[in-house]
Amino acid sequence: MHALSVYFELVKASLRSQMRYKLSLSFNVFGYFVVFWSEFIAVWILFGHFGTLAGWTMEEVLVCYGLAHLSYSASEFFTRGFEFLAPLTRKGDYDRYLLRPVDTAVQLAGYEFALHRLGRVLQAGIVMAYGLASLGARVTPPGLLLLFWAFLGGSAMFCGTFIFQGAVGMKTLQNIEAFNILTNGGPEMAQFPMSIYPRPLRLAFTFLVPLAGVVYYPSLTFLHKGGEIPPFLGWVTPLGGFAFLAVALLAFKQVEKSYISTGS
Amino acid sequence: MRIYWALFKTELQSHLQYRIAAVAGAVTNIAFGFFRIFLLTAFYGASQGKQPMSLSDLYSYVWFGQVLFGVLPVTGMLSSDSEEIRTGDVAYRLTRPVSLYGFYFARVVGQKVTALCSRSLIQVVLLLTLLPLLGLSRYGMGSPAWGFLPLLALSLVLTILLSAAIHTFVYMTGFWTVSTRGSSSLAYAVISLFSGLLVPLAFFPGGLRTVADVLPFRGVYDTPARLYSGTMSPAEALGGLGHQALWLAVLVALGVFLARRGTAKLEVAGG
Repeated sequence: MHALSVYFELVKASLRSQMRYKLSLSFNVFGYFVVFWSEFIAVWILFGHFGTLAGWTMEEVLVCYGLAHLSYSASEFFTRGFEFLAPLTRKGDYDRYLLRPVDTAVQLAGYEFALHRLGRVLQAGIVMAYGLASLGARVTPPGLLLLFWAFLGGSAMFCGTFIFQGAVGMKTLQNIEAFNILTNGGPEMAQFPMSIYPRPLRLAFTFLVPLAGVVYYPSLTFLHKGGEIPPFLGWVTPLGGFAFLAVALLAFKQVEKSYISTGS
Repeated sequence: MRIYWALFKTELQSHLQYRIAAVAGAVTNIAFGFFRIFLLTAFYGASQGKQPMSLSDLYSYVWFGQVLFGVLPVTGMLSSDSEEIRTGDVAYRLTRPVSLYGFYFARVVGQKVTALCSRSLIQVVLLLTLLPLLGLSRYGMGSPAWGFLPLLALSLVLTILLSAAIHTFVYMTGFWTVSTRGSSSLAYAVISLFSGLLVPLAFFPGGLRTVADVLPFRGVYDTPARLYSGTMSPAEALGGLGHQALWLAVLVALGVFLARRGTAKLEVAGG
């Protein structure tokens, strides 16, 4: 409980400082909102030209798109701070984190609650709402509950990828660009039905990094697209996201033990 | 001119030190290339109609973009250079007997050429060796259209310069926007769409295609990529080169103008 209250204090402090520059903040929210439309326009152009993708209409794909981008942008609020692990370790500044009487993961989570990220949440939310609206009667209350549950699992999973990236950065002292494949690339991949990827990749995204578990399988169940999995599985697989987060946290704690200060 | 050449060379030397980063970048680009390829292949699979490009030409087009990624004006936009106007370090640049625009432009060209000599080269080697080893040669990058090779070489030079001109233009917005963070992410969004990086321009619907044809951004990717894959008529090829050269001239002139206006009103806090 103590950790939680510290976390909220950190978030409040971060919000207060951002609210000082309201104009700059609103520009940043707007900028972040605009930028992600280009990727959506790309999807729209492709569907305009080709019609369908592996038996999916655009409206159906937008459920995947919405889930992937909403969970990703939510996770950014909580775990972007872990990106600073590499520079903190390099400069030996991580000492300060270890000295404070609160869990380091909580401190890093509260590193910055960057409000401009709302722009991306808004963009993904609008696309998702448009997709759901055009699906009409196929949207049911239990279905929406499933989407929310998948969103929670997805956010947990993306938090996990950021924590993994940070843990590795603690070892390598520099953020490894290849992690972008998972972080930036994650929503980009998951926004389309996983059936378009070759089998080994699909298996990796089910069992290694549960990207399919938090986006694709719940979407299949939600859209009543049977065949690939029994429908109830769509309710189970988002759990993988939480498991992934737990493993990431354990890995981070393990790496943290090997931290050596620079002594300056 | 000798000064700018020296600036270009120092930038080249300092960036070539980071070889591991270049390899990591190359691997990342290859992964993203595969995602694009799987996606487009799936779209092709479902459609009946005739497509503007064959699948193998499309693969060449996609890979060309991934190989060129480090050269495009989408990477390295937010660097220590781009923040110099905000931090005030720009004042040191102004004390030197070189043009401010020329200074940044030469450095950016240096970065782009480094990317071409390290990241792009590593990627080509990886693509040529790794894909056959993994049994994925069918997704590979085809050989260039030999007939267009001289034009492609010329176009690539223009691509690098045009890309650097766009890049430096974004730097110059720093005189008015304090931080170039906003303009560089906006530039990223516009460029990745209208250069053809996200979706080949050939798939754009009529009106949007016209917009993309007029804008300078196809000159940094679509034009050389289509010269490489040979999906252009000779007339289109010459038109493409003219489009690149024209926009290069316009953007450099605009950049120089912005640099002048910016320096005239610049205030740097002492310290």
